[in-house]
Amino acid sequence: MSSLRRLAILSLALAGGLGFLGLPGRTAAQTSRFAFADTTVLRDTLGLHFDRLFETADSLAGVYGRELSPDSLRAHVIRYRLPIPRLLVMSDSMHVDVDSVGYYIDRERFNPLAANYVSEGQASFKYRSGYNIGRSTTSWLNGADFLLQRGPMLLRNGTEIQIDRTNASNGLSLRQTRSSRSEATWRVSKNVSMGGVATLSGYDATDPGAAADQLERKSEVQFSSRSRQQMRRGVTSDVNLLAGFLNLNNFSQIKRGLSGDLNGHSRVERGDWFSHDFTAGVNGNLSRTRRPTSSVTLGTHDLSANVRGGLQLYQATPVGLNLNYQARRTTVETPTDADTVTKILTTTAGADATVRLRVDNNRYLNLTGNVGINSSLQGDLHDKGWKALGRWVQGPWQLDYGGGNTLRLSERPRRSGGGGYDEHQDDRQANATLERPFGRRLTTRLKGEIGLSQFRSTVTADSANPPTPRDSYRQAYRIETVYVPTEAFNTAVALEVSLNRSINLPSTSTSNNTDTRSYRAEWRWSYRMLRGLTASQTNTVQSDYEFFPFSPERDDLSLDYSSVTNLNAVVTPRLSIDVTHNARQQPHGDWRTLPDGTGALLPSDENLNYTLRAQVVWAITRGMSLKLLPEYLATDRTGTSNGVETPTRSTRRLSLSGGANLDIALGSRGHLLGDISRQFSDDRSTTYRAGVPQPSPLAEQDYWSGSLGLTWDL
Amino acid sequence: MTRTRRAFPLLATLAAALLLVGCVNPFQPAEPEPPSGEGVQENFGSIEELLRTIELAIATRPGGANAYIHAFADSTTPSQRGFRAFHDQGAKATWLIGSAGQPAPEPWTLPFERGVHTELSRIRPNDEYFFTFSPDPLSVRDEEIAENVFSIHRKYQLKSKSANADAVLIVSGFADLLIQKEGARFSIFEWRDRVDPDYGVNSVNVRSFTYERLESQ
Repeated sequence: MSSLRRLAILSLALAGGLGFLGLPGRTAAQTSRFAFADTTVLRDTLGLHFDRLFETADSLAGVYGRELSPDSLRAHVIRYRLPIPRLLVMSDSMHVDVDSVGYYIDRERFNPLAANYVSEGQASFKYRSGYNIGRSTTSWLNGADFLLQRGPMLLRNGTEIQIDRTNASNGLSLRQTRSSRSEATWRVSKNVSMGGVATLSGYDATDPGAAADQLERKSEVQFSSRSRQQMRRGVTSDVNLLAGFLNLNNFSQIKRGLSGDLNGHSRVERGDWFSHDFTAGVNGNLSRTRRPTSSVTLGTHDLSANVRGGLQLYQATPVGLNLNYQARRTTVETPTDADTVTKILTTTAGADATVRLRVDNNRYLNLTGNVGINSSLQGDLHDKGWKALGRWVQGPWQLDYGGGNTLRLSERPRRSGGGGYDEHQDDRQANATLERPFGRRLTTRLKGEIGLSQFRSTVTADSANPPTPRDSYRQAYRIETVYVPTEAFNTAVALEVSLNRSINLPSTSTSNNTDTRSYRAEWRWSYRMLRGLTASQTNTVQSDYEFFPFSPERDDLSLDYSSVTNLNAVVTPRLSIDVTHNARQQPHGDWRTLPDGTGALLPSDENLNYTLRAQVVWAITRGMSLKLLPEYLATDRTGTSNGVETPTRSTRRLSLSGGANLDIALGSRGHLLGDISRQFSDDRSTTYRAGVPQPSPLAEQDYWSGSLGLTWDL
Repeated sequence: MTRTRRAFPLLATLAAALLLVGCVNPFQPAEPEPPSGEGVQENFGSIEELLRTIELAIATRPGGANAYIHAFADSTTPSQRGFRAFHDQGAKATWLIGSAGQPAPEPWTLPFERGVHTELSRIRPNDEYFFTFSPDPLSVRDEEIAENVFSIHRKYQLKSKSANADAVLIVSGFADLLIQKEGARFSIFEWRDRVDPDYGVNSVNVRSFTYERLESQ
């Protein structure tokens, strides 16, 4: 059967039978440029707003080459409670990427050389305790953070103890993890601070099936120093040093010696056309080490050195350059059973450069080249490649395009069970998306992509088992139209056609080669019926024809009809109800191509799934809510034997989960956060043998789960 | 509009036309050899068939290595999911203690996984193998957690049997698997390994997949 004829059948099926079929729909009104954006991420949370979220993420990724998806950007906004404009301003002023702003804020809070350090004294003691309970595991965590800053002095301590208990059929597993870090710092001058750091940690594990318990004790006591320099305008740097004593005792080694960590960062700026960030560090230890069962003490040293940097040229001009580079080398030495020392080296290095050609946000082209190497015990990985990413907007038309080529060489030396070969990988891909609005209510998008990955292996050792030489080819087209007649209603239809070819090259594997042709049609709509009541539905029809070029008797066809209907009601500001119904039918069987070129499905099995799920949330107070989640699932599977359809398995399950969420402020200093719920579930399956039902016993589950955390700030 | 801007679409069209006419198709895959009839017949048309193919692949040595690795998701584009395994942390800690400084890569990706079939085969190279997945009675039910993404929980056991002896259990543990359906094909893209608590992390005779994976490096 030709592709067009199969497509026509699918389209007819879609037109005729989609009334009852759907996934949760999109609810927000669309604008032409971001008409296809997933607006579910725009829901307001914690009083924060996400205006221009998609535009900002798009601008960061496309124009400035800083890939950040809208949902990641939204997550940073929520986590650090920073509105988007504030986040962008801080990113620029701190000279860090948007997704690093929060980390730098946390770090600078305890930096004695920070600008507001002396003027703002601080003192706090926070205690936190959390208890998690599951069906067979419990976890109890206790921790405390102490901070005292007076004038140039800072004292900090963070301590955490976690106990995990797991019930197994032959006994109880216990694990206890402890860690504590204490720091005392004195700001000697405006640009220099000194102090000390003590880090202690411990681990104990007991398993009923284990021959012996495990334990580890580690302590490090170090002198610390921070300094900051400003040589001249536009040139800043900072240098940090930790040096002290290390003591490690565990099942495999006893290690004592000197440890150190020296790192620094510099930034050079010249107007708005040049900036260069450079970070370098080295850390390690010089130790005397022995195995617990040996009396021979060996000299070992571990060392890790790294450099990385970024150069930006002409960021604000039509032609700009970004260059990033990084390198790291790590050496770890450990004693062996023969009382010798093994050394393990790991090296990574890489660089990428991007030339940005930009007229404005609607007309730009980024050209990127990269090269890198990763060397470890498992082998070396070399990679190099290029990619292009651009956009061109002409009147109502918008064209986004991209493409690239990556070459990888993986050299895997012979080691125990694996390795002994080199693998060459060549990935090529190209894509383009053409989009235009037709009036204010209709937007259409056409997307196409093509790609080829080639894998070739060369054996470098006897009896090696290299990966199969193979190609992976893919192509896809998708056309989608969104219609937004009113703010309360929107609908979209989409049609997608794809071909995926899995091509093993050697004769031993080619019988499993497949060409999968997929056709997918989708229709979705969302309608806000009342102010607090929204209905949405997504209907899809998909067919996957899997052809085996060398084994046509194995050709098969999978059909998938799906409809998800969602009803979301905000009954009162404190009570919301969400009901979802999912219906899915999945026939599957052999596909036979007939002499006249048409084809026929020989049904072999069919799945029918129906799910009805609801979620009721009642916020009793600002800090406490009750939640109820009932769910009913019905699954029926049928098989075909000698042309007769017979049931093979059916399942019915009813589950109910109810509980409470807590987020309560205890006075001005305490905070209680947690949830507790009880789960009930009844499940019965019936299998059929020769048409005779064989019901299984009713499986019932009833257990509590939850977590409770208490934070107290003294 | 400047002359340069007007010329851009024309130049782009011209470049595309030249690429189509004058160059070798960069997306043309290679021609495969006709099949020879060896190896395990791969069937990834359903979750049950996927797991059955893995069972057969591990039991078939060495011809099952390809079928085994094909059961896992291979990411050839950034938008595709690639296979990742996460070790049991207790088994990993135990292995690290005796690893003489060798690191334990995590997440464990497909290139690492290629050595696992060989490693399993090496445990008892002359015995017959029986590998099985069975439902994990203590875990939550299997379910479709997103469109075409399934979460399933299985207990795995590998038994070996020599010619004159009973079957012996050599590998046992639990796997929390995420399986995707792409087109007509199911593949595993995440394996969270858990040690069988009946044997613990220090058992010498019965190991977990975490241990075998780390040993296969």
